[in-house]
Parts: sequence; C-alpha cells; structure tokens
Amino acid sequence: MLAFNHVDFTYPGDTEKILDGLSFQVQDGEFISILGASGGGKSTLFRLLNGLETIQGGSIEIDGKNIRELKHYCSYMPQKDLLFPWRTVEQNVMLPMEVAGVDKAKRKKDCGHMLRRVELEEYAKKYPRDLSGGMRQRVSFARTLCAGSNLLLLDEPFSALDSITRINLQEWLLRQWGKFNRTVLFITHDVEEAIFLSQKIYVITEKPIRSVEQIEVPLPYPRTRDMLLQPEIMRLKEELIHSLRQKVEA
Amino acid sequence: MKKNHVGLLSALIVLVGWQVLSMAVNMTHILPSPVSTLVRLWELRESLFLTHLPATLEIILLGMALAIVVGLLLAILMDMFPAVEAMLYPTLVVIQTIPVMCISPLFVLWFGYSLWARLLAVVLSTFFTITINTFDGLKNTKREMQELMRTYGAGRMKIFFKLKVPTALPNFITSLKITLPWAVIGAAIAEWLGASKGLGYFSKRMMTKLDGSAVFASVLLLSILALIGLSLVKWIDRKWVVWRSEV
Repeated sequence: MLAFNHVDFTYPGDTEKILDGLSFQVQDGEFISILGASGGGKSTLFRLLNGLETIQGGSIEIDGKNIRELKHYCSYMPQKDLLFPWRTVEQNVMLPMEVAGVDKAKRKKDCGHMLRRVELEEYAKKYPRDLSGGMRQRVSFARTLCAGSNLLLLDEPFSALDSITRINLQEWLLRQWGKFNRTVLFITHDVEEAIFLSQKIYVITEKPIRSVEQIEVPLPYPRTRDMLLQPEIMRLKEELIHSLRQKVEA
Repeated sequence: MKKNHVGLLSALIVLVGWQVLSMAVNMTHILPSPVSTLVRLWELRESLFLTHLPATLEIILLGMALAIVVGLLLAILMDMFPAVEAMLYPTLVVIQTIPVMCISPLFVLWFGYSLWARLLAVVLSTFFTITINTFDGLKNTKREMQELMRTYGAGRMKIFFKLKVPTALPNFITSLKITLPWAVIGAAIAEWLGASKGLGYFSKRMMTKLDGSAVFASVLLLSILALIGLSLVKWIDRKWVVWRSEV
C-alpha cells in the first residue's frame, strides 16, 4: 500500500506551495488515474515518489516504510518514450537492470520474456528509429516493467500519440495490467482515458493541492469502449469535465 | 550526370588548364605542371615516402592523440564542475584566436628542433575545437534522460558512461572531422620552422632549391594525407554513430 501522509512540498527557490498537507492512499494492485488540468502539479506527485524531488513535510510510505529508506520501490515511465537512440530495443529494455547491476544472463532472459509479453520480440535487435510511436511507447513500457518494482508510475504515456494508436494502446495497457498484476498510477488530463482505464480516479482541482477527490468508476473489467456510452458514465464524464473547468477558470 | 561525375569533370578541366598554362609559362620553378609534379613525386619517392611522410605522419598522429586526450579531459572536467567551466572557457577562447603559425617560431626557441615543438603546434591548433565540441555534446544530454537514469538508481558514473558519452560522441567525431586538416597544416608549418625531416621541411628545402615541382609533390602528399584521414573519420561516423541526427 502506498500512502501520502500530510505531504508538503514547494519547489526549491519558489514561494508557492505545490502540495499542502496532502494525504491519500493507494491499495496494492489498483489502477488509479490522477486527473487534473495541465500545470496542476500532477507530475510533481511522481517526482516526489520516484525520488527526483524531496518533500519538506509529512511522509510518503510504502507498506508502512518511508520511501527514503527504500530502493527500487517504483518504476517510472515518462511522457516521452526517451528511448536511447544508440541502443537497440532489447538494450533499451535492459537498461534499468543494467543500472541495477543484474548479471547479463538474467538481463537477457528477463528482457526476452518481457518483449514477448509486450508482443515485440521480433523487434529486439531493431533501433528505436525503426519503430512507430506506439511501438516505442510499448518498448518504453517494457523497460519500465524491467525496472522491476510493483508500483508503476505512468506519466501521460499516450498523450503524444494519434488518437487511434492511443485507443489501441489504452486497451493494450489494460490487458497488460490484467497479466502483470501490479499497482498502476496513471497521470492524465484526458477524462475519457481516465474513465476507460482506471478503477478509481483521483481528481486534482486545487492549487496548492490539499486533497484529491476520489471517484470510483462503476465499470467492471474487462472493459470495452462501448461501456463509455452508458448514460451513467456519460454523466460521470460531464461532471469530471465540469470540475476540471472550474479549476481552470478560477 | 551524377554529382561526383560533375566534380571529377571540373577537377579534370582545372588540371588540364593548369597543365596548358604552365607549359605556356614554361618556368617549372615558378609554375610547375601537374605532370611534372607527378614525375618529381616518382623520382623522389624514396625520400618522400620513407623519410618525410613517416615523420609528418608521426607528428600528426601523436599530436592528434595528445589533443584528443587533453581535449576530452578538459571537456569532461568542464562538464562535471561548473567552476572549471567558468575558469577555462574564456582562456580557451583566447587560445583559439592565437595564430599558431605566428607563434610556432617561439616553440622552436623553447624546445629547439625537438618533437615537442612540433607536437605543440598540432595540439594548439586542434585541441580547442575538440574540447568545445565535446563539451557542447556533453551539455546537450537531455535532462529528462538523466532523470530517468536517476529513477533507475544510476549515479554520476553510470549516467556519464551510459548516457553522456553516447550523447556527446557525434559531436566528438565532428570535431575530429574539423580538426584533422588543421592538424596536417599545423604539422607542416611546424616542420617548415624547425625540423630536419618531414614533408613541411622537405617543401621548404625544395623551395630554396627552386624546385617547384618537388614543393608541389610534397604538398600533394599532405593533402592526400588529410583526405585519407577525413574519409577514415567519416567511415567511423557512418559505421558507429548511426544515431547522429537523433540526439
């Protein structure tokens, strides 16, 4: 279980608080979307979680342990694929294990396994430039999985893709989540994406962030896109858009 | 007609025009013809290829190696420590503006007719560009990629070798492409000023003998040397730095 306990955060050199006494929890195995308008501090949550920034007050805990004492507790997938152009697909996927000092035989084995799971094994020896945008994101996802932790932080991974690729990848991600059984935190500013993917949506509507509004998505898995057309879901979508717009106008 | 055909044709026209002109002038010591240059190259082949070419090649290779070591070292230090950058950058810019040709006589004064005097000329005319280009490459490393490496638990060393070095490699190769001809020129000038062998020294000696064709023969060898070096670097670039446009 992941818990934010009364977390305060201000970027060094800034006066404006980003987080002000924020608390929330995420249970193991959940798929949670963090929804908010751009520039609202969503990505800051991830930067605090993956250790790129340090909180000034409160604590972030995983299974009751402060993340400061933990290592390799989360795997972060950035918005851009950030594949290294000098590495093959396979070498890119192995990068986190290489950094962690995993021996070569195991790296190779795990990577092969992972590429099969993301249906890209025939591209192992190709370079990122030979791949489409959607495929690159899948490689990036495989690399994230290879970082090995149970908590996945996905930061708007599909926002740069065209809409068809995006829909395909959303469905693909849900299948992957079903297979891998890991906790997913998924940042997005797209209401429909959040509804389609997640069990719960944490909505950010204020700045500084003092709390998140937790909304359950009343849909079973496996999901199909026509479920989004149910009146109840349409209403939920409108409500979410409404609360996000209020924030923008304010 | 292909592009390189056009290039070949125009080169041929220049050569023929030159041959005709020098035959009209008919003073080999002032305007040697392409044919007489090739003839002299053949006649002097033993001393050119066995004595002078190896001597010049030695200076170019040693000088470039030294410049690469110094250049890379400075670039890395500047990238790692902003204080070093602040200290060195302005000095480097000043050093770059020094015309090596003009101060080379000083090197002879300091080091005599030694290898060091000649190496210094080559190093001074090249290391700056290597330093600055490589430094720029290191600086170009994407912050997001560095952060991603950090989320994997990478420290400075791993970020350096797995991310910064490959990012800067295309810039480094570019700096070699730029400086290689300068290294050849630097070596030749240094030999002009203070050496007892080498293609630069040879061309100076032939000059005093008013043997224009021999001067041109050694110049021809120098440019061939530069061309071979350049195509070698280009080959390395194509073969190993396939990600050039993507960094």
